[in-house]
Amino acid sequence: MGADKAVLLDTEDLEDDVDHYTISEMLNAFFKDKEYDIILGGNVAVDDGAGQVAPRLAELLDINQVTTITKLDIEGTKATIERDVEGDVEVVETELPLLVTCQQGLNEPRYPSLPGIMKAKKKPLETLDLDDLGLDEDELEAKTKTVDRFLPPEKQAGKKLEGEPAQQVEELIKLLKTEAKVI
Amino acid sequence: MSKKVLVLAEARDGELRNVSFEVIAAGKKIAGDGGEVYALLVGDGVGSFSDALIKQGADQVLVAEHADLKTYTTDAYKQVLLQVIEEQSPDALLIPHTSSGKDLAPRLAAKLSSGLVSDIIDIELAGDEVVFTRPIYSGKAFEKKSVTGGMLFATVRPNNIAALDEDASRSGDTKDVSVELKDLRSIIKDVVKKTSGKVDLAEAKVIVAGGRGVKSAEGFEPLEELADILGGAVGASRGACDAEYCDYSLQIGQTGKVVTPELYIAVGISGAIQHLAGMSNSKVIVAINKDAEAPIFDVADYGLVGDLFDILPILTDEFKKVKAGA
Ligand SMILES: Cc1cc2nc3c(=O)[nH]c(=O)nc-3n(C[C@H](O)[C@H](O)[C@H](O)COP(=O)(O)OP(=O)(O)OC[C@H]3O[C@@H](n4cnc5c(N)ncnc54)[C@H](O)[C@@H]3O)c2cc1C
Repeated sequence: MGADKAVLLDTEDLEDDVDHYTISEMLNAFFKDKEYDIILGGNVAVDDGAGQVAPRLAELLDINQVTTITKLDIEGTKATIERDVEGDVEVVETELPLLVTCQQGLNEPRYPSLPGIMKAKKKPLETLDLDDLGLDEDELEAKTKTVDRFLPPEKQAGKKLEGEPAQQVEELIKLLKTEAKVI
Repeated sequence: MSKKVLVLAEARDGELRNVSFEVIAAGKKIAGDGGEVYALLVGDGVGSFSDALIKQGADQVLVAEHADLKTYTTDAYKQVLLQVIEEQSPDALLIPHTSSGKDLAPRLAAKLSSGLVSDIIDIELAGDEVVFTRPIYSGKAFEKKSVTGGMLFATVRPNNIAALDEDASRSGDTKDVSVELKDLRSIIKDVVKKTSGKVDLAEAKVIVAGGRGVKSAEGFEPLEELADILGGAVGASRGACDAEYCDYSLQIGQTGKVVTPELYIAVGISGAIQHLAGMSNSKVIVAINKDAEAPIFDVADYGLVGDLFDILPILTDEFKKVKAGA
């Protein structure tokens, strides 16, 4: 996809309760002594959907953040950004260093090409564990606990209404009134 | 044990958002008997909302006003919240899971070295422990979480926790919080309104959403008419947005808005997983699609198989009659 170098922060030493606090502290330990102009993160993870890690990291590094961005222009140390605010577009000006999280519309990710994939195999991948990051397991204990995970109660199979459009509509209105009670 | 709960109210376009009342209701539940809910208003010229917050259950309202708080920015809001937390020492903090809440809450949690449970839809009390429920895997599953370190802290998904009934006889204090803001690193140059401002999608009780099956921008007009009749809002799939039938501000789904209306009517939407992520927790789902095998029917309570251009006009007429009769 285009990265020049990759680093894997290994959580293997940690017990299973790894939460956003833990991850952001590990990232902080990694970035602390690095130089950077901009850190790009995702908006939310599709599995957990919390969107906590990136803003937490920005706070720990004491740099500014702009979340859910859809356009990014950088000139020198000045960044002009458009961000999605529940559908409206906000134009923000700020300075580097900066952390941003990316929202749909920012760009079209390229597809990895075959030569790209071959080249990627030769690029360095560094793996860092807690020791390498100078962290201690005890400091990273999660600050939330998952008590339970469950599937939603099986939804009653929906009803497909039959007949001509007018009949289907009539049936729908009746069901919305008497069964679903939403109108 | 009773608790002191701080909740952040939110105004948008000069109006208090309903989620403000929902965080108060959530706060009441956590506060317990003898506990108190403090509602915080942040902005410029927002003090007048104080009364409404008290009638909806707040015991005290704190108002932080400043010209630099007119539009949300991370730095400014963070400073206000930290100051109020310092002054009030609440046991719990609830923030709406909205655009600004999502930006602010994790940052505060990091500063306070606290746990945070994001996007909650329910609260249970197990003795003294507060357990939050939240959707995971795009709403296909749920988890229950509690905070074990730092402050009891959560963000609340709009339209899921019912607000309390308004009680006009309630009274409570309103206190100004004097704020000094410094080192604000983001300057908001402009806000380009894309949303029509009629009915807020995140809070709409009824949503009529169109997909690529609607076929054109004009095709959305009947959807708007239907939404108007039902007092709801129009939404869309990404397919419809990509095809330029409507603006991206209407997009519902994984990368669009997450909505939980009482009634969701999907018109010409196939029901891709990324779309379902934004609407599958709606209370009642109606789907109109000509393809009887479309995945949208798997989540629909009521499915109408047929051509939307035949069905929609009849449906609109019938709803008109229902509304006229009611
Ligand atoms: C990373 C990522 C994020 C995404 N995020 C989102 C998101 O947030 N929201 C989202 O919606 N999508 C999202 N998508 C896109 C998603 O995968 C689908 O492509 C999209 O939802 C399809 O939109 P659609 O249902 O309108 O179009 P289609 O899949 O083309 O479906 C059109 C439907 O209309 C029906 N139809 C056609 N004509 C008629 C007619 N005359 N009468 C009745 N029915 C008719 C067809 O049978 C069909 O089922 C995302 C994709 C990716 C990869």
